[in-house]
Amino acid sequence: MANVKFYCDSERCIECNGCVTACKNENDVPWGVNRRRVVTVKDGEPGERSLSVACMHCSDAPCAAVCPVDCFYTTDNGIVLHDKETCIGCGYCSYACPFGAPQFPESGAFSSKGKMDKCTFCAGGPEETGSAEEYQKYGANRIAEGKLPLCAEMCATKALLAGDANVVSDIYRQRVINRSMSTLASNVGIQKNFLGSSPDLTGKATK
Amino acid sequence: MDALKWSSNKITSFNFNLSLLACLLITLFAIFSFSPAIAAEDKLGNSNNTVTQQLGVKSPATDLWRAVRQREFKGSAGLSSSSQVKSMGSTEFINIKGQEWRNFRMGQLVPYAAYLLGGVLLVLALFRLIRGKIKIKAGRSGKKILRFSPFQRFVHWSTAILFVILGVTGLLLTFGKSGLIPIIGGKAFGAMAGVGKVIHDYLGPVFGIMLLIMLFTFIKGNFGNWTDVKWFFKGGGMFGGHASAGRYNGGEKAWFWVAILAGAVVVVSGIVLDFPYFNQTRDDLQLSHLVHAIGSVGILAASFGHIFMGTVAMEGAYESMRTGYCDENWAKEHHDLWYDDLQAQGVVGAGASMSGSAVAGVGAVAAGAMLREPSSNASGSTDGSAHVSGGSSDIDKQGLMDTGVSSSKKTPVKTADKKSASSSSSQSKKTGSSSTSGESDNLKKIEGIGPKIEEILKGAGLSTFSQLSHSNPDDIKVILNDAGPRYKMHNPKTWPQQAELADKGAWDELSDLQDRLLGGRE
Ligand code: HEM
Ligand code: HEM
Ligand code: SF4
Ligand code: SF4
Repeated sequence: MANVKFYCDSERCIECNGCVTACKNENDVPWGVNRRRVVTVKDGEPGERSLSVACMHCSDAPCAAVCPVDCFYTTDNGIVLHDKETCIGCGYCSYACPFGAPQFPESGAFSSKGKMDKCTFCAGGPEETGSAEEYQKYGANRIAEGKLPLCAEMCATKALLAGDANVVSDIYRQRVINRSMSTLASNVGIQKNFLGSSPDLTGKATK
Repeated sequence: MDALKWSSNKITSFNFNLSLLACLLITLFAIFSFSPAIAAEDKLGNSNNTVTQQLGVKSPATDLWRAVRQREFKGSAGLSSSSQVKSMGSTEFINIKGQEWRNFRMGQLVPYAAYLLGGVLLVLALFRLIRGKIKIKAGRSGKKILRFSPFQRFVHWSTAILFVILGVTGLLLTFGKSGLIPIIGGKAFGAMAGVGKVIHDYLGPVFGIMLLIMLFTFIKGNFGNWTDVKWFFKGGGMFGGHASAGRYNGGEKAWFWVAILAGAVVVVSGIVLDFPYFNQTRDDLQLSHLVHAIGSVGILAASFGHIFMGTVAMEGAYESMRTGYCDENWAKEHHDLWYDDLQAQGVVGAGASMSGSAVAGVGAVAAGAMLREPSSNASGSTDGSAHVSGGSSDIDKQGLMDTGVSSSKKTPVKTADKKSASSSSSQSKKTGSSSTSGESDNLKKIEGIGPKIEEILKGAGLSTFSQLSHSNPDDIKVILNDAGPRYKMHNPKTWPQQAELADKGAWDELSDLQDRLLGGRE
């Protein structure tokens, strides 16, 4: 089975927050919880970049390791899901998670947090696939319908990639190389214009 | 270069192969013919990563991801980052401390807590097996000394019960995954831990309040001194002969301070976790959890020692907190200096002591005595010490029978405690306390008079029932007022009347009268 992953391309993300909204709508995410968020650095300065962050579905998931009631499980696709029936809302998963993915619908006295909620890679939860309970607790199960997570599908610039990790990395690798190419090509142009030499791209070392 | 070869294996698209080829060539080109370009790149402040240098270009995302990994985007410390999503830590890319906290919780807390708590239990069990129960060497005297007031016992047991519940519900989270889930399954354990968590979260603050009350209730007598140092050097009497101790021994004092101080740490860190109203960040919560967990495990390990000594390890200890009274011989053996003090104050010992005849009013005696001796409670504040004759609970009765003490003068069980009082009072009349007037009665027989007031009255020349019966309540009031403000509250109105009956030896009538009185007042 494929091992699925998200990847966000910082060269393409335009901080439109479309993924955040798409997720919230598709999964009917509890009030106050955002399973996905866009973080921007150097806002308004040169080098500004944005990344869309959510659960990364870790292979060695820290949340699952620390959960005192052991309510996490990993699907055949490598999607990290959890059981809200068993969750006690202790918050430990949110302390351990590197990406701030686990969130809580409540934040009241006596450590009342409610059941933890996090990105499911649009793969629902332990309840019967496609059932009303599953939708109510975890949101859509698009994976079961053969679809990818809506956040990535919605992404206008295709910055956010989701799917088989190999495919995602191939796409990204291709993008990197293409970008290198264009940078190099512009370098070549610079060399030509300013150094007077004319680089040859035919593959021969000397002319 | 290796990286590129590897990717070329993976990528099959024709276009891509073409561009790859070009890329390879350009790379070579860049390296061998255009070193000034590379130098120029370096001057622009780009990283000196070797692959980058070889390529001459790099993915612009590299810098970003490296910065993210190195946590350069964090609040005021590094570069600023922002997000439209407003929630705890939403502007943070990577939670730096997460992995450290995971390692602490899973790699250290769970195993070391198991070793420590298990180790302490093992040592205590071995101690019990080798040393056996610490007996009262002289056997039980049957004479009881008041050690803890009802209020002290109330405070102790409420704190103790809360502590046990908090300990159990807390450790459930720590060890449930490894210890209980394999046995009862995840669903059942989840339900259990869910209830446990709510209980823990609600009782925590209550424990905090009780701990504060405990601090004030028990602090008297818990300050360390040289006796305690010596006590520790003698291992509490295990080696180097008898270890003297005052009201509390070195070990008890150590436990008191561990309970209060570690308890305070646990309470404060618990409140930080419990009430998210102080803008706690995730880092704060991780730190609080770490402090809470270490503090809890420490205080739990210490509490095992305390509970062990207070129950299975030492004869006569449990009953003192259970009933409020300890056996006189237990006091002599374990708290000799305290006992000496009580003797010096005339609370216990030959003069004041009554015979241990009364197995009679079991249970009722203790409670009755307490009500009839308000002065002892008032004068000793929370640290009240007085004595009463007779067993005070079923446990004591058992103890008395076990050691075979004081079976000689058994009065029938149904006799009221006033009866047994009568016989002992006449006895104490003969033995006599060191009163100046030669003859003296046990004035404590009068409801409202305790050891302290007896002392005052005798000091003022009222040593016998007959003298008291002929005095005016107002005059007695003057004596009491002179003795200090704390005696002002006592109302001696009925004392002459009671004394008259006592003088006549009309004990039944006195008893009837006293039943109608409350604390010596009408
Ligand atoms: C001395 C008594 C206490 C003991 C022995 C104790 C023990 C523990 C233990 C062992 C844990 C689990 C740690 C882990 O496995 O990760 C825990 C968690 C916790 N404790 Fe305590 N604790 C005590 C008092 C308190 C108090 C006074 C409060 C609050 C005012 C409190 C609030 C919490 C909270 C909020 C947690 C996190 C999990 C949860 O939400 O239940 N505890 N405690
Ligand atoms: C269920 C468990 C417990 C048992 C069976 C127990 C038993 C006892 C007993 C028998 C005594 C009397 C010792 C004597 O006469 O000198 C005592 C004293 C005392 N206990 Fe406990 N106890 C328990 C839990 C606790 C807890 C949880 C605390 C505090 C958090 C505590 C604090 C004290 C204090 C302050 C004293 C007075 C002596 C001193 O200052 O050390 N106990 N306990
Ligand atoms: S919640 Fe966090 S720790 Fe768990 S799998 Fe997702 S990203 Fe990893
Ligand atoms: S909040 Fe729920 S899912 Fe997270 S660690 Fe606690 S019990 Fe597990």
